[in-house]
Amino acid sequence: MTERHEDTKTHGVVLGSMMTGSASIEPLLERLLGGETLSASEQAALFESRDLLSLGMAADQLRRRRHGAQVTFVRVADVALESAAAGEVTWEGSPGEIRITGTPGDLAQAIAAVSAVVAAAGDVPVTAFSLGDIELVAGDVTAAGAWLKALKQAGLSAVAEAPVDGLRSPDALIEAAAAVGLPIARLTVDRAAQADRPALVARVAALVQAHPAIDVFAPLPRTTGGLTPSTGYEDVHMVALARLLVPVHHIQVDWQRYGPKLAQVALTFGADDVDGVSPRDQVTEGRRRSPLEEIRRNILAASGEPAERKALFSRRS
Amino acid sequence: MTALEKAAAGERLTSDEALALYTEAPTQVLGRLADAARARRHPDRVVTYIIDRNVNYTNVCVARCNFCAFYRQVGSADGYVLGFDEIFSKIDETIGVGGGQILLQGGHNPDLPITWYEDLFGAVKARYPDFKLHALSPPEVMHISRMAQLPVPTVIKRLIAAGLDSIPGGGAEILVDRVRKLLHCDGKATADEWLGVMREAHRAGLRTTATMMYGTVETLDERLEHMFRLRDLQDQTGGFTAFIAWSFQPDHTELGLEHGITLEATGVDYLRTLAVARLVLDNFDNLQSSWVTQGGKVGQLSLLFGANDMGSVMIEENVVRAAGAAYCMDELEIVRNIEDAGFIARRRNMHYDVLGDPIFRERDVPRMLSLARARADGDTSVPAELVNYAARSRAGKDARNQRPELTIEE
Ligand code: SF4
Repeated sequence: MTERHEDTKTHGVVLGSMMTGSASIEPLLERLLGGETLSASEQAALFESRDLLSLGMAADQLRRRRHGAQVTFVRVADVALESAAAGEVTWEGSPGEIRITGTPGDLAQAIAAVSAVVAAAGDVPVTAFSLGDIELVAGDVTAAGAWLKALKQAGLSAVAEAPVDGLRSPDALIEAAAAVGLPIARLTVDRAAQADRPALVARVAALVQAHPAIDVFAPLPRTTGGLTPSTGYEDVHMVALARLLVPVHHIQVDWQRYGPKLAQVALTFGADDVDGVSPRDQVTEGRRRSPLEEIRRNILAASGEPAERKALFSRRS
Repeated sequence: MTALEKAAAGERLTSDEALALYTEAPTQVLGRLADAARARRHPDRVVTYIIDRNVNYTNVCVARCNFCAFYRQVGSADGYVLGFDEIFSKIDETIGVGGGQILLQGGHNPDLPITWYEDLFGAVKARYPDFKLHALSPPEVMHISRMAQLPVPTVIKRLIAAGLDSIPGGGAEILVDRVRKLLHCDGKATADEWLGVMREAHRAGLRTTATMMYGTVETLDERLEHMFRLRDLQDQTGGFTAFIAWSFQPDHTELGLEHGITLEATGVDYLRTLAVARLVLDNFDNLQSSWVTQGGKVGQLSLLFGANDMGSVMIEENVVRAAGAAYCMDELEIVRNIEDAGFIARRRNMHYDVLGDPIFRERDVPRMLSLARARADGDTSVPAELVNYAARSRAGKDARNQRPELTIEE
């Protein structure tokens, strides 16, 4: 299966005659692939299009231009903030990133947690927190800047995420993080109702253009579930449009949050990086043998070449 | 003409051409080809589904397929046979949510003679004259035939007389005997026997479905051989209404535990396999999505890779759940997924006749957030009517000897 020729472009002549109802977006996709920027109304037309396969083929082409066949992934160990702040720092397996989860009550707790995890992590990078939570708890951008500086000094490698729809002052916060040399591991989306998605993606595109150091966008909402979870169509549509419309290097999907099947399919619709793979070396009970074996197999079956990384995209040997 | 051009033009593929597409065509391209083939057969953008219930009347089985986590050996404390009243209750619940059929399948239980099936079917039809019985996959028909020492056509004729309406395509796995031997399922039915039962069923006027369980020890060539054998039979009889592919679920199976096949085939593999099936099976009207093994998200995306049917609401499921898959979608969720992908949702029966709009839009239907099971944990009750049927196995005879009310003169 790995010999598959995934360059869909070469099949366009034959497939062009099969287009049904998608004629309206083909010229837009060609212009996008030619490097043009679409107007807001043209972007809206892509969001309204039901031709997911055409969107996916174009997104896949863009992904391959940037990354070839390579698909990166990172094994992440989550450590709860409260435990870490209390000095209880444990994880299983061999992570490439240790991520402190939870919202700190104050800066002292945040520093205690980061210091404890960094001390235990060795050369594994430690990321923590949401930039939105830091803004909220610190109170304003200036105070948030002081937090970021202190966290950097405590050894934090990066802020784990910046939810685009959860920041009151995104530009100022991103600049504050850059000023103290603290990277932001990824832009994320907390919630994204269908109707809000065009504006949200436009906002992400603008942020990425204004702050080129940010090179990862995870477009699928972090808050999911309830009685009406997002559908596969919505998820893959969002991934493809993120690749097509956001000039960011990496489009990321979360292995655990979205599940292996959807995450793998997203790799054929524009995503190039998989976050949140379990760090455990062996699963002795439950569904599968080894997360590492499973992720590699899934990437290969999607015609990718798996490359394990650490946080912030340093390669793992 | 290349394989791609032939597929795009809707022409019949040879096995070499199908293999070339399966191994070389990019996933999106396969999707596009399959979607066009689907649209040629179903230009109205209607995607159907059925409200029915999977009822597994017994889990006792002598076949012992090594990919199966559902069966229990004869004499096992976990073995069960459902009573007629239990099955009636399940039918009542199915009717309550708008269903008109059960999919009735079970293990090869040596203690259930053909008369048990005839009496059950007769009792169902007496109570629910319009309710449909989509029942007994080809290996079960073979098992009944062997136990009764009657030829398959006679068994089918008797079951039809008792109330059988159609036959589900289970037990096909991969219709290649090399694979069936490795899966330890050649004894229940060889490839020829499975196809032979379907041929006889079609001759007798029954419509049936066809399935494929992939992702074990087979090669891509063998998956295609399976599809081509189905296509050939369909050319002869036209009796298949639909094709359903699903991936092997490894948890708690001998194949997973002892033979190291612990990883399920991937979602992309599923979508590619489905798309190739749509292209190869050019004489099948309907391809189902297997959301029960793939989950709702990939299940929905299968509508872009050749599927035109979301399968069954199911209500109850015991077989793939035993092997690790635990997805659930009620009617509202199935319809939401169909419409979200840009299709029109319609209820159908086993013959794929459209019955109407979603039931929940006509009346209140309770949400169903998990699939029911055959029985509650710890329920070891033995149906009273078993007293009417002779046990054949030693364990079955012993059990009935310990309970004289379950013993009859042979
Ligand atoms: S798959 Fe069917 S025939 Fe095979 S062991 Fe399981 S219940 Fe028995």
